[in-house]
Amino acid sequence: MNDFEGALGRELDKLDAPEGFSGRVMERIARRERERSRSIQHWRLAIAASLLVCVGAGVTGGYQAHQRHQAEDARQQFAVAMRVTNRSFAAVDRGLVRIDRTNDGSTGETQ
Amino acid sequence: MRMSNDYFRGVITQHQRMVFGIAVRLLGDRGEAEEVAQDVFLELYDSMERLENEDHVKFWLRRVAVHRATDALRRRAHRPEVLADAWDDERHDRSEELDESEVASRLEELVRTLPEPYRTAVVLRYADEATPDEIAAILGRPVATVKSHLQRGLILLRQKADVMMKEWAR
Repeated sequence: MNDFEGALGRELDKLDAPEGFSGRVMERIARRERERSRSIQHWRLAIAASLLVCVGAGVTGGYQAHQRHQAEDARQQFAVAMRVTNRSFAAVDRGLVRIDRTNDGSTGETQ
Repeated sequence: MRMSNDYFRGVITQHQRMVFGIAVRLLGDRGEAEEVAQDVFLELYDSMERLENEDHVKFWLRRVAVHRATDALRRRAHRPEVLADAWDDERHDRSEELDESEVASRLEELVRTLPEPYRTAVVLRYADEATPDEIAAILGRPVATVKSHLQRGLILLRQKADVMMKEWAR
């Protein structure tokens, strides 16, 4: 068996890799790196676009909230103004009634 | 251990015979073996940072080459086979021209006919000069099992070689 093993070891010498093997491996690595780089760029663009959309939505949402807030303030101010006006009109009304009564009393005395 | 392209090209040049040799002897087809060997080096490129030294790189390459070639053999088992038949025809045609001095050179072809797991053990031991301990580590099997596979593989090879020599002697 030892002779056979010796022959086996001699005959099964390492085979040479095909010509240009290392170059083809390096080409595949370079191609894969380019694809990875492109893929990373696509992801970056996608993330940037998503962020932009989020920021846009946030700004729009914030602006709308601000507008709603302003509208609410205006509504409250209008309500206050209306109450003040109402009270003013009521006071004027009461004053006019008083004047009318005063006038009616003085006319009766004269007759 | 991330390095320049020139360094990595040097690593390929240093180990390509070993990786290609393992792949071609397990697969028996140079084209398929080159594809597997290229895949192994692409995988190595991604794994270089984790490998500590030259011995680790060599061990890693042997192990991954065996595993990737074995995976390719399994994939081949699931599709119609033409390679083995083509090889058998080729051998039959050429056998008429053989004389006894060529018997030794036919050992390589006989190795390809060995069933697994004997073939992997024999290729690693006699083509790649790995020790049984190293083969056990590469294949993740007990050393005793590897030794048994080597012994059984040698017996089978011897029997095949005897049959071949008797055929030529006729």
